[in-house]
Amino acid sequence: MSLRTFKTVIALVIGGFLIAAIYISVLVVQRQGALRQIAVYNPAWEASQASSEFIRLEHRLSEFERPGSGVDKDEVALRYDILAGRVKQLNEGDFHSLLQREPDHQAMLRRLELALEGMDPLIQNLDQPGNLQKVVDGLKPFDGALAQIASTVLIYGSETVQKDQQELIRLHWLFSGIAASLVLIGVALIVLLDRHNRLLGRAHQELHVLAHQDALTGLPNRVVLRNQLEHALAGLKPNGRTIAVSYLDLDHFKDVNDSFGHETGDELLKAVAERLRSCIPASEGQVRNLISRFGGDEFAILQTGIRKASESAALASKIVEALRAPFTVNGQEIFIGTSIGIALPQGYVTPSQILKHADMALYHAKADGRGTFRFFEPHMDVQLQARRALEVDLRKAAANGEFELFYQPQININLNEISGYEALLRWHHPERGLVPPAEFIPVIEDTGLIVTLGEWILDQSCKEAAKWPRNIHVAVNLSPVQFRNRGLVQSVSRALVASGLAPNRLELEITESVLLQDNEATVSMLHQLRRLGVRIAMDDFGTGYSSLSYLRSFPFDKIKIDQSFVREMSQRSDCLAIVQSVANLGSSLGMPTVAEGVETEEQLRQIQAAGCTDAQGYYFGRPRPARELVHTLEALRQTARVA
Amino acid sequence: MFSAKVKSGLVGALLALTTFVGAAYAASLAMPSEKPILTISGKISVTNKDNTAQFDRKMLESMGLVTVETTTPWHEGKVKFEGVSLDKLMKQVGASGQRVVVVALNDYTTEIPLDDFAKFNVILAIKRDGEYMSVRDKGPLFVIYPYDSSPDLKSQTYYARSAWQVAKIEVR
Repeated sequence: MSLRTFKTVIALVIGGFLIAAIYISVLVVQRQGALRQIAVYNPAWEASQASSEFIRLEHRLSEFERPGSGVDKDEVALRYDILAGRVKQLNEGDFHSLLQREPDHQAMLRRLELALEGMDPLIQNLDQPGNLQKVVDGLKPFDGALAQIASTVLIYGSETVQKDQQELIRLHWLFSGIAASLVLIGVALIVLLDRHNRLLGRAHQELHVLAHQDALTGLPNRVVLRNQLEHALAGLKPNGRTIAVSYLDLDHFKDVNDSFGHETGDELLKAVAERLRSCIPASEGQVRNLISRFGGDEFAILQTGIRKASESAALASKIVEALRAPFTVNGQEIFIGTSIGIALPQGYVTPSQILKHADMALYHAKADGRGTFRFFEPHMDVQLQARRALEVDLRKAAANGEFELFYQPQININLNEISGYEALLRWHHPERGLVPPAEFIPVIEDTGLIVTLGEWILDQSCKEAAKWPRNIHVAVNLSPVQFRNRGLVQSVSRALVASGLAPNRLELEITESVLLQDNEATVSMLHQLRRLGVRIAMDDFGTGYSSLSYLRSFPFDKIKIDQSFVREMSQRSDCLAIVQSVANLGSSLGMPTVAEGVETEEQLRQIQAAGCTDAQGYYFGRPRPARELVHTLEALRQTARVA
Repeated sequence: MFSAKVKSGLVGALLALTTFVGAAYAASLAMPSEKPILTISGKISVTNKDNTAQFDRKMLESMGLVTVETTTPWHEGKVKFEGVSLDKLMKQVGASGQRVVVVALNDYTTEIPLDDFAKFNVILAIKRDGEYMSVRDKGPLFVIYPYDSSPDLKSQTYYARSAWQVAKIEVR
């Protein structure tokens, strides 16, 4: 029964209750009325009174002439009046209508009344001779009639009483019936209320479940885990058993959602929950494990009663192993892994802190290449704080004019002349000093600051390059993050227009990670940039995947060989071989190759021999601010010598 | 000062008492000039003949008439009765009992608690709708409660106490 129907039923029952109660009081009033009527009406008494008054009058009349009887004219007159009053009364109202069934009696009473009226002058003059006899004679025909009427009326009366009694009995049964139905309604009400309570109880229980269970996987939710964690932390004893929180999320779950749809994603989460349930025992000796879903693709496991950290490490590797096996969801085979961060209470910690620690450890586990677990270590916290501080400073840096572009020369080996400069971002922090790019570049990428900063770099470097001799180009690095921004092509074109720089003097360097997010949009953006007339160089080639297919996916204008190979060329023959191969590849594809990180004359000779067309590195010059630039190799060498 | 006050208080009370007693004694009842229609006997302190108090219609009327308008089981519609307040009448004869026995001309006898008279303003009616009631018409005297003033009064108890053709009252 729904709560709505239930409410209707209960309202009806209460309505019935009210009606029955009102009806019962109506019945009570009716019964009172019936009782009163029985009591009020007593015609038999009135008739018998008339009868006895008749006899009294006859008696007084017979005594009237007997000397010494004490009956005088007034006494007879009084009795006469009383009888006349009685008879008059019997001819009126209730009594008269009572006799409707007996017309003889009615007629007789009328005759008696008339006869009495006719006797009035005789009574007034009773002492005149003959009058007494006339009165006695006049009364004679009615002798006994009144007694008859009285007995008739008595019978009527008893009939009326009978009827009234029957009415009372009927009312009594009605009353009893209503009372019984009141009792039944009362019982029904109790039953209904009991059921109502049970319905409410069930709703309450459902709410409780809703509030404590994750709807998708049926696992306890974060509320439960937090409560248990709080409880467990409160119960910790020094040198006793301890607890661990393992925080895990699925690697690349977002990709599953994006490529297979959310429904598959949800199914996968259910399957993951199922697998977690089957590989994590609820209890093992004194160890208790609570699995909960934290939301999204995040799960957390609370282990209580463990002795050493290695116990949670064992569990974590078991989980990593279990989730590494493929899942079959909606007919698709999906590979997904997990990374886990584990935190144990160190000193006094709150539930929030320990969860935060586990999250930090998870972050590091992911940074370690995913598919693994890490324990929280205090330095992670320090790192996080440091990164936060860096972020705050970076957000203020642009407005404070703390950024500057440095330029490093690129040399055309064949011409033995400067062919261009690579623009490099430098950050002068008022307290930190010159911050290494490796420290802050990832942060500006993560925070999205790169988008506005990237535009500034393009504007600045184009404006600067426009002042240089016509044969010198400028190379600007683009981050993969900038490619996610649809406005990149516009930014480049705006920078060119604003500076008046010939598009072919702008070279954009991208790493293969841009192509890792290989999609049509990225390639199409590269083509649009190419159509503007700018050149595109593949940066840091040789690191990462270095798939040759990248070179095919887009016709690059230049390949830059990563400086790590150049630096170790002299010591390691494999590095030399790679440099040579890439240079050969470039020449075969008709792409110039730039060797980065050239620091010695020896290295220069080697790359020249390998067939590289350009070189860049400290051997020719460090990155310098724009105002210190010279534009010929000769001048550059002189400044280097002076320095 | 204090005792003086008490003394004057006492004197006052004593004076009031003598005045009251004197008044009670002084209220001796005149003899009826016409044929008496009501005889009150029993525990009464004021009498005019053979330890009873006898009244003719004039004596009763001279006590002042009170009007009661009410429906009754014996008449159709509302009826206007005029009569002597029975409470006043009992005070007049110095009644000291708990109840009275009312006897009618036809010897119908009923008993009424003395309290009733003051509690319900009961009257001993002489006139109905402005006319003296004859013996034929339940006269000359009729005990009337103001039945309409309370549902309690519309019951057999009070109807039975409402004697008509009243001739005698005995205070017990």
